[in-house]
Amino acid sequence: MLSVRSIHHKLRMIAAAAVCALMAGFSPSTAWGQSALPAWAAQPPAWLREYLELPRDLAVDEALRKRAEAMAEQIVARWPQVIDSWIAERRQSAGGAIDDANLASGLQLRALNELALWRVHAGGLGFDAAWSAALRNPALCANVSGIRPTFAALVLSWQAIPAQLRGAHVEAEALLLQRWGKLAQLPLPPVAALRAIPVTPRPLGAGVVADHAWRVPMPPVVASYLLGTPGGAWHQDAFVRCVVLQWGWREREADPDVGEGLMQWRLAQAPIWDIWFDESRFPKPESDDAYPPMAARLGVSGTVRIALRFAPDNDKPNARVVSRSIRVDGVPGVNPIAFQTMLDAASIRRALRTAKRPQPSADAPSADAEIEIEIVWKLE
Amino acid sequence: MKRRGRRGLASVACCTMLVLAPMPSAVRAQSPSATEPKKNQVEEIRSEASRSFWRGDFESLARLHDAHSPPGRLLPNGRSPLASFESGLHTVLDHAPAQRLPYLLALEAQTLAWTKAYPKSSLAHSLYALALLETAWYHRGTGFARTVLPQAWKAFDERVAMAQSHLLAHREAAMSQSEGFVTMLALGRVSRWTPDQLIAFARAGSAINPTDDRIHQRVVAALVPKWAGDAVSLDRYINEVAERTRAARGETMYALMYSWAADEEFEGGLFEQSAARWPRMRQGFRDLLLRHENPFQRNRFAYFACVAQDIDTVRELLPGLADSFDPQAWGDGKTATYETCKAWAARQ
Repeated sequence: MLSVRSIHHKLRMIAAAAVCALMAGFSPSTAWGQSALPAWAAQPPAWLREYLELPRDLAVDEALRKRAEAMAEQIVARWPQVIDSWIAERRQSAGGAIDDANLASGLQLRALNELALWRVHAGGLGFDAAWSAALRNPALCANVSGIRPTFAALVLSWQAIPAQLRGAHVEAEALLLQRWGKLAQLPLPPVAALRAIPVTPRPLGAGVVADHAWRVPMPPVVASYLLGTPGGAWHQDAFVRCVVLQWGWREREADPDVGEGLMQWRLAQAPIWDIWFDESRFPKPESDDAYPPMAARLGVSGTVRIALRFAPDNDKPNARVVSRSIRVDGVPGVNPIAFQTMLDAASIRRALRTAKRPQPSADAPSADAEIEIEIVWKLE
Repeated sequence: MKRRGRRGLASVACCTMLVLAPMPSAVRAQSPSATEPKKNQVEEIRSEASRSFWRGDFESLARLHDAHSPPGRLLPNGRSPLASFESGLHTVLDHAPAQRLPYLLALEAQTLAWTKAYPKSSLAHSLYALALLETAWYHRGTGFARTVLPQAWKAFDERVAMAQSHLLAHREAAMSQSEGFVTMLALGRVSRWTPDQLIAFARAGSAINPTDDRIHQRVVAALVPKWAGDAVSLDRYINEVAERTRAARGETMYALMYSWAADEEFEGGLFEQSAARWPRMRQGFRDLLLRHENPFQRNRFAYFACVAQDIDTVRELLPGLADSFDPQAWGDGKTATYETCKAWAARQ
């Protein structure tokens, strides 16, 4: 079985290494000209190899392990093939010259984003059918306790796909990998859309059997997260994500938007920024709603639209993100899926600071009121 | 009537659970590993039950339960494996997120769905009844009976009645394994069953699984004076079980059951306020440790030797605890009680 302790340790090391590399820009020792590929860029970064590493005691079939290892090698092998085009695209978007430090950190962001894109792509009807079958397996999340969304966690969830569907699914995943490193446009998926599910149980009197508003009863961990923890952060633990998304997908299995549930599921397996970068290692912002220093350092900018809902008896509104349009300097021409939520928290803080309750209208003086505010983050 | 105990099931099993019961947050963070030392069986069963229940995987939970249900097997701590299983269930049942009532209602909904999906499962029906009991306690609160509002009593009693009605309505399935009896006895305690009712019901449960010692634990918890019992009824039942198990376990059950009774109510006053006899308890602990040496019960033995002021036994046991002191075994005072006892032994 997977060693949680060693994975936690490894993840901390990977995260630290990623941040250090970003901050130091790989510490390239030589000046880089316009045409030569710098030596430090010729090999994939160490954190990528570690992300792809499968622990020897991972609880998966031998055949699946071998196939997964081959896929990991495929990613590593593609690095030299994609790096030239990434550099060219980066230079083009920067309008020509770009210093080594910025280039290096941009390449790292691009590599991370490519992993996220791989996860969000769908592989056709059979692909989704395999995931749907896995999501019906009550033991799907059993083996991902305590780990974050690494390649190992992904392979563990492949193991939960019924054997008769697994082989074809993994091959479809391998096929999707062919797109790795190429320009790809996908709509930004709405992270944590599960929060939109009405999760408030109806008021119960004593002696009334629990009458819930959901088709599928919530497992305890989901109830604790969605009902028992107000404002709980989107959990970094792969196990919690797994069970919450599994429940959310089953809840909406019969809905027309079941595809959205599968998108959420795939996205949850993506290595997005909050898993890999430790914001606390960056300088503290000047104020609560100032430009987040890590986002500024990584070149993340854009617009976040926030909805504020005022209850009649409370001047402090509830805030939620409605949409985002995010740009990342190091990820030109590609939707920066791995970084789309990086400005959410600061946008909500800024919206809450600036928003005022709208004047009541004559016909609804005390009803709930909702307004939307657009927060623009622009790098100077 | 003084009803101070927080809850039937959790406090009943506290001898082992206090040591072994982390919150579900710990469940999330743990996963078996080949590189970590192998967990002992007690912890392994508890942890597996907790994780399966936490993620809503009834099939795994039922498999684990069935694997440990056949009578006859005891774990290295001298308890039924089902006691460890139940300890795992309670990490989920007792979980207290910031907003507990919605969590409990969802737990009711989840377990009710299991009773429909698995109508012949004793475990499914018991879990639903336990979820209802948790909600009942939520309404009542944990204070003394005199602090509870009438409305809260009403909500408590209604939920308990719902749980009992459910088990009775599905009695064939629920009582097909000892699980149903254990749960019904927990409900019987808070419904003020008479000692005779409790004992008769426990006998029926023991006939199904003679080594499921949770049955006796439930009866002991219900027969202490603060609930429906008294020292005489309690002693009668403990003697009956000790007699029945003596051939296989010596006086082990006598020691264990009075140890549970002390936890429930008597604590340091065990030998004054109940009919417990120290020489039999001492023999019971020796019989238990002979078959199932374990640090918790050795600590417990020393604690009761101190309560009984048996200086020779205290002196015999204390040196062996230097490396295996377990504060959970030392009553409410925990480490302070242990230190007091050590100082007392040194002065004598």
